[in-house]
Amino acid sequence: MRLLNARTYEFHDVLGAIKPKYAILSHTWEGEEVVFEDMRDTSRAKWSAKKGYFKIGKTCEQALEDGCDFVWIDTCNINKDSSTELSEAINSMFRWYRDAVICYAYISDVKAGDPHSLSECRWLTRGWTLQEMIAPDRVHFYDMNWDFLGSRISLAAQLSEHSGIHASVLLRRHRGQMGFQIPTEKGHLAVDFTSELDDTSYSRKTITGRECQCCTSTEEDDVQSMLDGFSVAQKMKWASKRTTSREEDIAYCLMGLFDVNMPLLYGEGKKAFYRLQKAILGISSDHSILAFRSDLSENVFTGESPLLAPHPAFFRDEIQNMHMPARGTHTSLSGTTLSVEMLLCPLEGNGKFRDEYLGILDCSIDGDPYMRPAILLSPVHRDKLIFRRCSGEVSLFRLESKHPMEAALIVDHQLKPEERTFIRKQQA
Amino acid sequence: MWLPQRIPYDPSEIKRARITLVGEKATNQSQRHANAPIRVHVSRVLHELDYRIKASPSLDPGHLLDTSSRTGSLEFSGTLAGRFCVDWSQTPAEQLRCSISTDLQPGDQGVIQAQTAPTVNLEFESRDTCATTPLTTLCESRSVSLRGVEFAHIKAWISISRETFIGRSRFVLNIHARLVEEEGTHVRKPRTRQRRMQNLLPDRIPLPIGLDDKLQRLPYRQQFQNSTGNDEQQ
Repeated sequence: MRLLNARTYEFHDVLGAIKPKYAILSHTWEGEEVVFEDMRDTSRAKWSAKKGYFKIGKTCEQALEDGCDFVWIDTCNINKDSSTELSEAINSMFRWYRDAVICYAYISDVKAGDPHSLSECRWLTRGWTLQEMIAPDRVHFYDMNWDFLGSRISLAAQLSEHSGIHASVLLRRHRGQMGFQIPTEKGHLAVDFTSELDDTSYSRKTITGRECQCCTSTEEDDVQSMLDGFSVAQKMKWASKRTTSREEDIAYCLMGLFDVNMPLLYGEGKKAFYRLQKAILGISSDHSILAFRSDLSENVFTGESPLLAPHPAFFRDEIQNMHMPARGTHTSLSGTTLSVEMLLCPLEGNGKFRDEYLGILDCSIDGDPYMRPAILLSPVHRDKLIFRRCSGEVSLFRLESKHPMEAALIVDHQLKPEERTFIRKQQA
Repeated sequence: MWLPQRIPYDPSEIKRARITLVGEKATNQSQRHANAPIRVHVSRVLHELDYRIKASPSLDPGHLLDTSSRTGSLEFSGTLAGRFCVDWSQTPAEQLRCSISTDLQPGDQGVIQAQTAPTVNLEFESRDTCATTPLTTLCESRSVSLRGVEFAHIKAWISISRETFIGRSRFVLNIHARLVEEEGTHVRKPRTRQRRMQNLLPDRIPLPIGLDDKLQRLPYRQQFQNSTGNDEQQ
């Protein structure tokens, strides 16, 4: 790991696990960034004249104020000409953000005092900033003039609402401690916040004092163990509306979130996301990785193998994992063949779908264990139990205790009663 | 693919099993779900009687129905023996429905007898991907009678046959016809044209043309003859 000395602006290579205290910057790339070659090959006078120097200088000043002698900034601390170094950095980035004393999130298109601007900021739309928001223990937000906007804890409500990330992750709290409510429509957890939410002294406080009903532990969770409590589909959903400049990066930027590693192969395009899911299946039997669907209202066709999702955008629903490792089952992917144990229900005698099956996932929807997602499967070889996911629009069905004999198609746009009547009239 | 808002299922049928899920490229899927080709085979009798065929939409090379269209018709008109139509349509559930009617305009579905409308599933890829089956008649319509030629009249009917070769099926829409000698008539020595028609009377009806070279290469030649050479049956 290459750190930058906040006083001297000299690079400092760190080998091994023991690192000096350092601060880390999270930002979005813009024009005139100060890159590694600038600092290595040109004079300070020259590179400090670039527009991108502003955030570097401010990061260093703030780090020194906060007791850190070193900083790490992705623009200037990685030699991107070296593919080895780039690969190491990307595979380690989640850990580097996690191990930092503090992360400064520089929101260059937001001005302090504007209450709505955070919701529209570019920082919340980029793929790489997802792990940068989650991995560090402390994140402080600064506006375009480096005025303090708030901490991740004080801004948790806004950040959670606009990013879809569960507030418990941002607050580093066990979800049960905060009296969460699960809204039926929004699809993500909301939290009741109190005025106690302030971490300017860097100390974490109990949020509401309410005890978790299912767990009495009041210990703070490590980020990785906390993330393990979320399903693959939930984490994918956090990334579903984010974009990256390079197609492969939407996969690479999620490696840390899923605690997997893989070599970088820029040029592989969409296959990177397939490799990511393959790596996830190597360490997890979470069925929610199959709980993806296309948006039927947009008539999107995948064009790729429907075995795994082609992009995080296909994870549209709040699907929790209910898989029980004690059952001793495993899921394995070999090439384009996935071996998985799941509940099957034939649809014999159901008109058009008389040959198809419902593959019921070991998951729940919206935290309700009486609501299960299912995928529609076509038999390739019935006796050998070989199936493929039905082609065309990749769909997801909902099975619920309220209607135990009917599987309902999950769609984004729920028709209003009057719209249903209108369609029925048109069909008649 | 059209998806219903709700699919009924029986919870008592749910079982846990280890399954294999396979992924496919979209191209493979489109091939798997491609419509099976439907070739039109017209009885030699109709050719001999100088029937003209007007297909809408027009037939593809190889006498294949253009199934990109959901409906179509074949209109047969002859100067000697009148006119009849074969209408076909595909349902969203990939079923082919055909009907034969006489003295009607193409598409005049309303007055067709139910029995003249055979329906088959157009399953391109068999569930048993190893299956090889000879050309077999799946269904047959009742016949319609056409105006006579001298001392005989014409009966026409349709049938649909399927052949499967290593899991892949193709279909044949057969337009059958035969001359039926009217009772109490004396068949005179035919002049040239009449002699041609005489040759088409039941005992001389030849094997249908249209079983092209490709089919003949299959080892089921004898069975093809039994299954499709049934112009005489009605």
